[in-house]
Amino acid sequence: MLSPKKVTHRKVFKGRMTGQAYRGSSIAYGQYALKAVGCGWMSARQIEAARIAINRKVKRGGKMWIRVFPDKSYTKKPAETRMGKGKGSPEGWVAVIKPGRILYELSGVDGDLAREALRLAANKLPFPTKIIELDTTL
Amino acid sequence: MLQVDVQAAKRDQRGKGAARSLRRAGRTPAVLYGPQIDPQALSLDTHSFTKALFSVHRRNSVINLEVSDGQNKNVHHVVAREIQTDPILDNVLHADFYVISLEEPLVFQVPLRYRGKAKGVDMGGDLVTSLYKISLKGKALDIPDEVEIDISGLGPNSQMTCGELSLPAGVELVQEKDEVCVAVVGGTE
Repeated sequence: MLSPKKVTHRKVFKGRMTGQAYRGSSIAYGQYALKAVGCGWMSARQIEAARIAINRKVKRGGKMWIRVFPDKSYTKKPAETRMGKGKGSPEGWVAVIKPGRILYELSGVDGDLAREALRLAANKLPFPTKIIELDTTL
Repeated sequence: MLQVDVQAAKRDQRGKGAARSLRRAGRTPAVLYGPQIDPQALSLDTHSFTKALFSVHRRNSVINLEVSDGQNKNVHHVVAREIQTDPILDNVLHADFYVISLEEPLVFQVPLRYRGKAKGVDMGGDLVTSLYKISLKGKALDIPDEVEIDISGLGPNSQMTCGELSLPAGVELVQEKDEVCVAVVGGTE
């Protein structure tokens, strides 16, 4: 799973997901892409699950780019613990996704196969997405 | 280079409120500027402008912009310097047009297209593509849409540099001539 090698702060605030993703919102490498149309946290596990879903469908041939990286840690308190006594310990990593963000890009595969692979990947994600193509976007 | 005709009208109202009401009315706000003219606020029909943009899809093009202000009509040769799009809906929000002279040389980024299969790849080598775009200087209409390179003659452990590209007359290379475009690494004769 993806995670940062080194971070300045192990625990960070939750933050708010306001606005849209102006950066990383257009296709940069591939022919087909999966774009988020809602916001949410995309965990390293979900990034990996979606990547596996794409690779299983595409099998061999084609190239895939992951355009997001989980660089924010989230914490969790142990089970059956009373409230207080400080913030919990780091549990995992997430990428903060705002609407418009490109998540995965694909090229070198047939259009129908690419759309089906990205649809399967979208099923693993906790926010709404859409599939876009280079030829039909400006 | 491709040419496309686009019609625009001058607009008096500025600001985001006016821009939003323009968009609701099916028009796109735009701005026209350049070295010889004062900046002008324009509006374009969104549907026809989007169609024009798709006709030149992500390629260099000269836009013949016909600006009308009620009585007069002026045609400017422009390039689209920036097209702002909505990150979710992917529709056009705003356009920046920069007036150019068709007689003066300008620098453009032109895509490279590699054709054929390199001989060296069949002999066990790996094809390493270093450049996908090159900078060319010339009059706007002399600049090609793309530069095609035939790599079928590329043997093992050989390379092709920018200086070896065949360019049309009146167009010169901006970047270094010994910069490698594509190479075959490894392989045996």
